[in-house]
Amino acid sequence: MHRLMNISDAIPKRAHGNNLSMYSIALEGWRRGLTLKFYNAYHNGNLEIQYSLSDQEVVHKFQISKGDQVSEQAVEICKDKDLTKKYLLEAGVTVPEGKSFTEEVNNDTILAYALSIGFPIVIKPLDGKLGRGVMLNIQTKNELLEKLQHVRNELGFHAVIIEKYVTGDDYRVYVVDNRVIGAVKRIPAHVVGDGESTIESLINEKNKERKNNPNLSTRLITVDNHALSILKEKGYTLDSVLTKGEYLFLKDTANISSGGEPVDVTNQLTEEMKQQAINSLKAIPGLPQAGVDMIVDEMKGTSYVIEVNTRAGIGSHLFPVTGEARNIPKAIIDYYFPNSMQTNEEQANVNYLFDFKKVTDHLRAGKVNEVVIPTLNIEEKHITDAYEVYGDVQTTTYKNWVQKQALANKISGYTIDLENGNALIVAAGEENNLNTFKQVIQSGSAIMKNSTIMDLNPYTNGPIEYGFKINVQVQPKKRNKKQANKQGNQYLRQKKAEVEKERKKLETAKKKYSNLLNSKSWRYTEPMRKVIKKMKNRS
Amino acid sequence: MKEERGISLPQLPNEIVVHAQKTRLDSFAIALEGWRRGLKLKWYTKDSEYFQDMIIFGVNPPGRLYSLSSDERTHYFFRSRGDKVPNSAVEIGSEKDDTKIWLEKAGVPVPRGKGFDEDATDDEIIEFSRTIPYPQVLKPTNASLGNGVVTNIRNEAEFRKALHYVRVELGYPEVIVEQHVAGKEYRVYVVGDQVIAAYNRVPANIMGDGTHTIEELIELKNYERRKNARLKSCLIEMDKEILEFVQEAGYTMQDVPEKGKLIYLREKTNVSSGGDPIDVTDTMPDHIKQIAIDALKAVPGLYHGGVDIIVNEDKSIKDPAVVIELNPTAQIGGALYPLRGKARNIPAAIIDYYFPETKGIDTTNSKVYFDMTTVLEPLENRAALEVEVAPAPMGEFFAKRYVVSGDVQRHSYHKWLKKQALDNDLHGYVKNMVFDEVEIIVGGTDKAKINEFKSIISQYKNIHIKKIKEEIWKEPVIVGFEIAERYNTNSLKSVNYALRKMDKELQYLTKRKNRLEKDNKHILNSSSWKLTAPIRKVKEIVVGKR
Repeated sequence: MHRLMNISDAIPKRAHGNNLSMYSIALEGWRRGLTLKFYNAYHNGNLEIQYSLSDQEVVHKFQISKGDQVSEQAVEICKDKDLTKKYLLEAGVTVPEGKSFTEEVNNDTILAYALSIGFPIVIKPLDGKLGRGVMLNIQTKNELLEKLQHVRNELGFHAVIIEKYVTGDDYRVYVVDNRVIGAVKRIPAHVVGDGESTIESLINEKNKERKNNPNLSTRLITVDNHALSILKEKGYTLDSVLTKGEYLFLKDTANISSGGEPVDVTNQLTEEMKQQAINSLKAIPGLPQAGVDMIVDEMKGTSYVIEVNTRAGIGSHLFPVTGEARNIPKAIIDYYFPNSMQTNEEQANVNYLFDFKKVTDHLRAGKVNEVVIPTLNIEEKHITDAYEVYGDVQTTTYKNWVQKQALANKISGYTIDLENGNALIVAAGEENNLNTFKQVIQSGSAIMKNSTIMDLNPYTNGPIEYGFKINVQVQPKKRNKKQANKQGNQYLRQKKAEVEKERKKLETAKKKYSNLLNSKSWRYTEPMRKVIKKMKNRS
Repeated sequence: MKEERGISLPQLPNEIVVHAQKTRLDSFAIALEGWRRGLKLKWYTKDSEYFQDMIIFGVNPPGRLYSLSSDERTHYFFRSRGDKVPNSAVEIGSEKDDTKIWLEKAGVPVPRGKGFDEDATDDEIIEFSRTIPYPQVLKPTNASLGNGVVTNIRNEAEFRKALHYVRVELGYPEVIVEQHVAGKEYRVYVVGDQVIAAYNRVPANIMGDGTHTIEELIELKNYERRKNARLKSCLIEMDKEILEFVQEAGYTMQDVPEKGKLIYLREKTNVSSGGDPIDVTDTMPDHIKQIAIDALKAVPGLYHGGVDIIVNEDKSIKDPAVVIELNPTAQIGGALYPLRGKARNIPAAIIDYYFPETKGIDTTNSKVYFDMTTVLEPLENRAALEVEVAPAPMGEFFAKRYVVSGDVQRHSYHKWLKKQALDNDLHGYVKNMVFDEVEIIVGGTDKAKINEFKSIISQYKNIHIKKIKEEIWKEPVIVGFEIAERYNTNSLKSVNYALRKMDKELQYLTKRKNRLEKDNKHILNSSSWKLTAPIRKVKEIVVGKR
């Protein structure tokens, strides 16, 4: 569990939301000393970042959470909900009764089938995703015709699945190598009344919490037409105040992307349910890892498998709103690289990260195609240290020198200007390298004659980004953004003044130089210098 | 100074090499040529395993180590030198003494002379000097860029002085004594058995116009150099050497030379110390070219490189020209951006040599390139070990410029445009213009997609577009798609970006300032300055009394 703790304070902004799965699995592999590459590839016509991990023997390629041991055939099957169902049924996995209809089939035929299995029923697009176009709990003939019209003609999902509506909660069960690693229940977007706040302010409150969760920060609750119509149905407006303890669901679907909340339920799953999820993967050829969507009725004890996701996001397992986090990245890397050493805490004293922003920004802009991250040598003993340095240490010259020394000694870390005029150097690296580096800093540079160094307490908390940066600015919290902005502009003005000052110094030096060269003493002493040279030669 | 300017290659206009200065220019030009031919291009830090066995130097900032690959194979490069050139050849080339031994062995004409190691006594060297005719040259065995070379030594007294200067003052105990061959100096670039480029290296100079002083003429010359992508990074710096040289020729900096009077400012011919590269590829006689080709062949494995030769003018020796130096890692900027004459495509010749199967691919009209700063950024602080540049769009490249007005300056819209462009394999940028306009550049090899993009522009929901102006875009386009935001005081990102830029500028200024201050200190600490102190004091008093 401790490693998950390590991950949780190690998620840069850029890795939130959709990037969380890629980032956390890549990080787990990289920290075990595997070689990590990120590269651009097209997936269904969209340019996206994928990654690979390798050791001396093998390379494995990944997309989101899916590794290359998932077969093409399995991907094809899982893309097609109808085909998935066929495979699941054959293997004896319980699925809701239903049937798919192609574009050519008219609505009357579909209605006839719906009547034969009985209401309530569900309409799903044959190849939709993220819950788009899914119509749940349809109770009547007219409602069915109306929704069919909407899904097929207005939304343009012509081919649909008609299914018996099974009641229960949305579960996502993640299976790796015939083991259930984690399960979350997804609760549709909702608020709970406190007897004082309006619905709108309750939603704002919820969104504030979501912003602090790396998995949810990019997926806030939006008040869309769907939500408004639900409110209207219940006789509420956004300004209504809910009574204390009153639950109000704002959406029908439980998708995280439309405001749903993941809750860890791994320990609540029955053995049968776990087996059902495991069997779902076994039913499909070449599928060692996947997320299984199930509808579970906890009261009745029933469970149906709805869908199997090969490129499932794993963020909900890593950052559930309540319950324990589950280490899916560890399970995936264990499966793909059974020999990879899991660095234990004593060994990995440095909580290294790679600079996700720097390595992916240019990929995202299509400017670079592949980036290889430096591989960690996990056999070495690495430690972190911090020193405060005094003197003329906030100058660019000094900081550049520090960076040069750091890179020469394979030291990672950064420097920060302190308000008291000193600078903080945080350095991590292999023990001997770190000692050398410290000695170099201690002895100062030619530029910095009077810098002194003071050890701080051994600095162990906080992750260190691989590589060495100068002028790191403390990342502002979102609510402090305005202030940070102000501060940033202030810095900018200061920096501008600094540049101007330096420019002036350069001008002065230039002037002095040309004055010296043109001065009479220098010009007239030309013959003298020649004589001196000659004299020196003779001696 | 109204002479014709040098003609650069159409595929290498100045604007695309702004982020590739000095030795980075060599790497960039060759990498770009390979990349534009469809080869895979990667850049590395010096920690990369691929360069552990290659002789490399001065590679702390990235941008000098790269590889190009076809489906079949990969070649690694350090600046202008590729992995076909073995280390043994590089070693021979970097030791002037060794170079000479190999050249002589192959019958290539070299100036008469001999190398001495650090154990040799001054007397021994002087003894040898007496056996060859004056004028003579004395140079350190292993220094580059013309450092420490003393030319035109006319007698033994001067020789003694020079010997002390090089061995003691400069600290190069290993030296070469050579007969000075009078004549023009040329840099010839040879690939295989072909001369690709030859240019005359003229020492830093100015031409009188009858109105400007020497000092002003130097400024004017620098103004001209600034317009040249190679020469802008090596302006003529007014230093002690220049001052003394001009004085010796009987001028002061304030003199106004008559019109048409050519005045040299230095002895050194290096482009980096202010020399002029003047292209002579078409006019150099074949028998001189052959000497350069033979020189390269004399060193086993030196399949391509630079050859410095002096074409003998006064017939003081029997050979028409002598080879004075070989450069396995030659800078090629002088041939790409000559001050006068035509640019020569050394990058194409090098790529032809390493990847002959790509020989037919003509990149003359190529309008697409990659930006060095962007691509190298992850390598700068070692956040990454290698970076592969996005593949070049292959085939004829088209681009359009759309100027869109409406409520179009929202970041979410720009992000969406970026996704549409990248998903369609289109390159370019979106940039805010005045008030309610954006400029969108999209380019690629699929003309239909570029035209279709006009309709995509208006497909973003919640955006109201008033007008779309379109025109053909003929300027170079950087690969990928960028949201080129202007500085905005309300955006933290924008502020941070501006800060980073300013830091870079500061770094540059500090470096230049430190250098000058060091020079000043050198003068102030010199004995002639100290000796004249009383004179200055007297002058001060006199001036003060007035």
